[in-house]
Amino acid sequence: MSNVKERIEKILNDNKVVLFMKGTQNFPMCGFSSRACAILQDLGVSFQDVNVLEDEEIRQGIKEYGNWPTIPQLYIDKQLIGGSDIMMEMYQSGELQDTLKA
Amino acid sequence: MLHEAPPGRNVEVPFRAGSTSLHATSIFGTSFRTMSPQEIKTRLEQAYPGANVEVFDLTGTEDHYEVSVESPVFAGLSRIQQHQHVMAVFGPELKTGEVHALSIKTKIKS
Repeated sequence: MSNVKERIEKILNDNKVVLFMKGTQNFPMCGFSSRACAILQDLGVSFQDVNVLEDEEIRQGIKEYGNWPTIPQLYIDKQLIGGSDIMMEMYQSGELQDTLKA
Repeated sequence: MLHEAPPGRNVEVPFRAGSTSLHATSIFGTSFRTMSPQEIKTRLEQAYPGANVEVFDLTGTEDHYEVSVESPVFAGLSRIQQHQHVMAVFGPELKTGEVHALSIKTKIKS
């Protein structure tokens, strides 16, 4: 488990905006992941996508890492922001834009 | 929306023979007791005394719920922390699949 924790931390250290998702940003494999991508793309944000379908260790590990049971998961500056519901709420209220600018 | 099958289940939404039955049965023959909207509401009201609580059964199958909780307890917590707080109230049921999908809305009550 410590290995996957280190792998996750390296991804978060190397990228300001990370979306752990099913599929890729060019080819999302789940409606919720697709919605999460669409929000970030609409804001013109470049982000690192991590396809959990191709990495079982990260798929399980990320759920424990942030104590959040579902995919997608958005991290900004190493902080877990939320899944697609929270992203949509924050997008609509403008908070997501503010968080990305900070 | 939380929407992840617990380990060992391959389908996201199990087929239900009878949607009004308290004891729904999946295609795998495993019996899942579901929680009624009233049980969900009572649980939340106990966890958040004085909160405004609303519960919606999204599919009529008593396992896909949307809940809305407005409580002063959420002050100072990020959205994800607020949602984690509510999710923890249904920790065991989310693990067993009694509550399969939970969409959460939280508000800080002033």
